[in-house]
Amino acid sequence: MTPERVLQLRRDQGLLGILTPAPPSRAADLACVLMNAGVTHRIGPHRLNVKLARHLADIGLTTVRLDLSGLGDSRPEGSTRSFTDQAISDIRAAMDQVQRMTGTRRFMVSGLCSGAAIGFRAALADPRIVALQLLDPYAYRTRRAMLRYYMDRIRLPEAWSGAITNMMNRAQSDGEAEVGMLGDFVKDPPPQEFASGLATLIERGVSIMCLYTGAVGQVYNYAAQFDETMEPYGIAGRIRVEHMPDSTHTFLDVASQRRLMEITDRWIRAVRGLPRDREAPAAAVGRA
Amino acid sequence: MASMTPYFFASGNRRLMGLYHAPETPRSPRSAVIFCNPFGQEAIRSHRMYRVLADRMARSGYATLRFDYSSTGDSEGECTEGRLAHWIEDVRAADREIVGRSGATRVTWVGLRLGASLALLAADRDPPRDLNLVLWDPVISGANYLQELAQAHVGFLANVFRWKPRRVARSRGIASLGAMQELVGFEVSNELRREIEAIDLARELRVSARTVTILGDQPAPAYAALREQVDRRGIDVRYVPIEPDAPWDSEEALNASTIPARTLDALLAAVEDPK
Repeated sequence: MTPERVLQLRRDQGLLGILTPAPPSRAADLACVLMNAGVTHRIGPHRLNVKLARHLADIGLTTVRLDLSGLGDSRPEGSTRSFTDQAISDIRAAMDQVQRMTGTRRFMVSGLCSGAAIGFRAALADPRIVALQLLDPYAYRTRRAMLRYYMDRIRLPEAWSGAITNMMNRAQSDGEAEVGMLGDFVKDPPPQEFASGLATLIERGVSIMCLYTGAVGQVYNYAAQFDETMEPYGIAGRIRVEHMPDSTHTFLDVASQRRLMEITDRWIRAVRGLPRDREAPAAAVGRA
Repeated sequence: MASMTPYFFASGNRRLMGLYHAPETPRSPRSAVIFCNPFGQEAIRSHRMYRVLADRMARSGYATLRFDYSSTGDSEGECTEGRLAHWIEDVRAADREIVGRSGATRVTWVGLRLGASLALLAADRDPPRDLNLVLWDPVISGANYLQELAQAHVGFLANVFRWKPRRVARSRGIASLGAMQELVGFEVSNELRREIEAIDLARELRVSARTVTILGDQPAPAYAALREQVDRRGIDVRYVPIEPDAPWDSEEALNASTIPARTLDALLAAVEDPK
């Protein structure tokens, strides 16, 4: 592995990233920016960003794992911009730096949860983003998903005791509103808004992957659900969709981390600009 | 915010990520603090606390260094290559690093959970002339600690999928909590498991330091054997009970970036006045 380097970006040097350079002999015309998932610092949940950065570099993508302004070890920027606008500016600063260092103008961006929301907005704002990986992004419940969720719950003996407890708690809390699984993290835009953004990106030629884990099973729980919800907007079948029902939101199991790496590897190898004749050793997938 | 320099430094042939916070106005004698991370998921959850603490200490005149052990965080190495013996060497390398950078003659090692145990184990030889240890909730029994992490791992999955622990164990092929190869998201090699299992701070210690301060929110008897072992070495040891504060290691605290303010005050006070 080519030694990693510290990047200090922005005029005040307060934006921190770690650069994993691709070996010069394998460097692709494609680089990558990873960012925080929620408030976890740049290494990602369970060091996932480190594993991903090192694997991507190994197959040719110089990669930056970035602490967005105010998160991890990056200072707040001090402007009046919204968090999302600032985050987009941060990602652009990282891309500017990598572009200066490697000459590439083509980037992959990957984000989990709130990072997915930011990655989506960043891709709409900056045409240099040609590959976008959204992990547990916006999801829209269907009748079938509701049915599957409740059928699954009914089959579990522990769900019955839970349901009774919930009923009692609900009675005691005097009708307090129930909060959805995603409600704590991200406010999903209406599906037509998400679809419209995706359509813009598809028109631009951006390769997009949406991956959903089992942790959002209350809302999203079968492989064809994305296409079903996006069908009315002409998006169905036009982006890559993956479903990992056994995985937690942060890929707690090491097996799920490896699976994510394999999925990512296969997808990004198909993106134009990556040398196709250089295979990363299979054993390297999922390590670090 | 005090000035912070992120950089890589060497521990033998391993490259470690460090974050140096320069003192705003250096104390006399020059004083420095290094922060020893806990393990795995606990290291991720304590990152923000350590950053806030390092910043506060730098404003109070201390040079401070946060760092990742080899094969953890941003440092070089794969998770499966992590070894306790390396991490102990890494603590000593971080000590040399901050002394070299700051010119400090008085150094405090602050450690949390497994990081506190590592600080204690690393202080068994060639300590700097003036070394103070501040141990926050040290892992006294490595075997018990591994068991706690295994239970946390299963409990986390049970909570996410709303399953009974028995079903989690069946779905993940967990035959015994005592033999798990991964703990709360991190791979644990057999070698590392054996090294952690061997930690028993209630037995004879070779620690060498000027003072040892133990902070914890468990009843004092939980730390009695450790205190006795440190006391036997002729080291000034004291126990500072900390009241239950905002929990730093919960999922909720991680998502909300909660900082246990009272505990950080107690840690700062322990560094300021180690006697």
